[in-house]
Amino acid sequence: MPHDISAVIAATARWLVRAYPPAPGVLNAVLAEAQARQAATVAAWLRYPTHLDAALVAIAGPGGSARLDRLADADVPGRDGPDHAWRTWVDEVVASWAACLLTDPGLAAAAVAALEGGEHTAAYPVEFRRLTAPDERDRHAAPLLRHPDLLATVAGLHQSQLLERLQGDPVGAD
Amino acid sequence: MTQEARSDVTGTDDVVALLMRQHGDIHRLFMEVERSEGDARRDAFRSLVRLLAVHETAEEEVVHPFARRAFDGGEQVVEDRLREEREAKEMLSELDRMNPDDPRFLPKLRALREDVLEHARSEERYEFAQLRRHADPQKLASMAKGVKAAEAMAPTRPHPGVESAAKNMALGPVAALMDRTRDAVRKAMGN
Repeated sequence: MPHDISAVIAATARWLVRAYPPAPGVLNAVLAEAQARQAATVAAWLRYPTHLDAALVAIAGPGGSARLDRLADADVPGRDGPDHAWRTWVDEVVASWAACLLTDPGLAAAAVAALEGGEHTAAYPVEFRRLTAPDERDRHAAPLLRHPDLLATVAGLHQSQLLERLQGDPVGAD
Repeated sequence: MTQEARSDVTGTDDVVALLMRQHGDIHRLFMEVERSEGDARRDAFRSLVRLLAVHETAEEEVVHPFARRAFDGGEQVVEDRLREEREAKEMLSELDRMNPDDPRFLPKLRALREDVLEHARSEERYEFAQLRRHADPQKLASMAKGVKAAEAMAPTRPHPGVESAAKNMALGPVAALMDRTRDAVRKAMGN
């Protein structure tokens, strides 16, 4: 399991939930977070398909949320604020791919299928039901996060790269 | 329950022990909600809702897929647990919309507690026992790592490379920089 990128996944999921807030209530918040995290996990495992890739991004740094914050018109905290730290762990490509998966069920299913046989799913089977088959309550919890129009700008940033990846770009060939 | 990312993933834990500890924490939080009042009850209820949802998501991701494939009747065992979880979530949602000081809150919470604890006992008896039987210790440890990673919180410290990354922005977008780094390392390693 790629623990090296769990920080990147957690921060990127948090960025998505902050930018596209859940419906009111703690249950809605935690269900929206689970969907964002599953999307960020699948996106990160696709983007960094080997443990080497995962280790590298953890060392080199994922780049942070600066451009995403500008695009989403987010209220960005100062460098000394408590929100600054986790934002440095946000990965723009992972956020963009996760946005694609959250708003296109076909892409989400294809992305999860593409993980099969890869290093991240080698040890045991993993399912991402909240991402690929959200029930009524999941959808109710995250109306903005699942809205294609609202996420279009972020999704569009790196969508073509995701489509290339899903169209058979083999691991390690680039 | 949750932890900051990258901390304390030792590999010595096993997924059944981890999830059973969470069952204990869930029981404890139910008691805490019942015992407390006002804001303290509200806070404890928030923690309970969060833990229930995080725990259930981890089981859906890691435990149920393995159980389905690992033993005869696994599919049915998982379906039964998922049905119980859906029912519990309906009650949880009703409670989430109520004021915790409402006189109807505690009776409903106690009913939910009975259902959730019965569900946990069924998991331990029908699913976790089979997991222990069919997965070797290494796999159980690996699944525990997966659950911990999935429950990791976002970091509270900036990435150590953030200063140099800002300086490197002049070289191009960070994503492109990452791709170039990866290519260079792969080449160096002969991949």
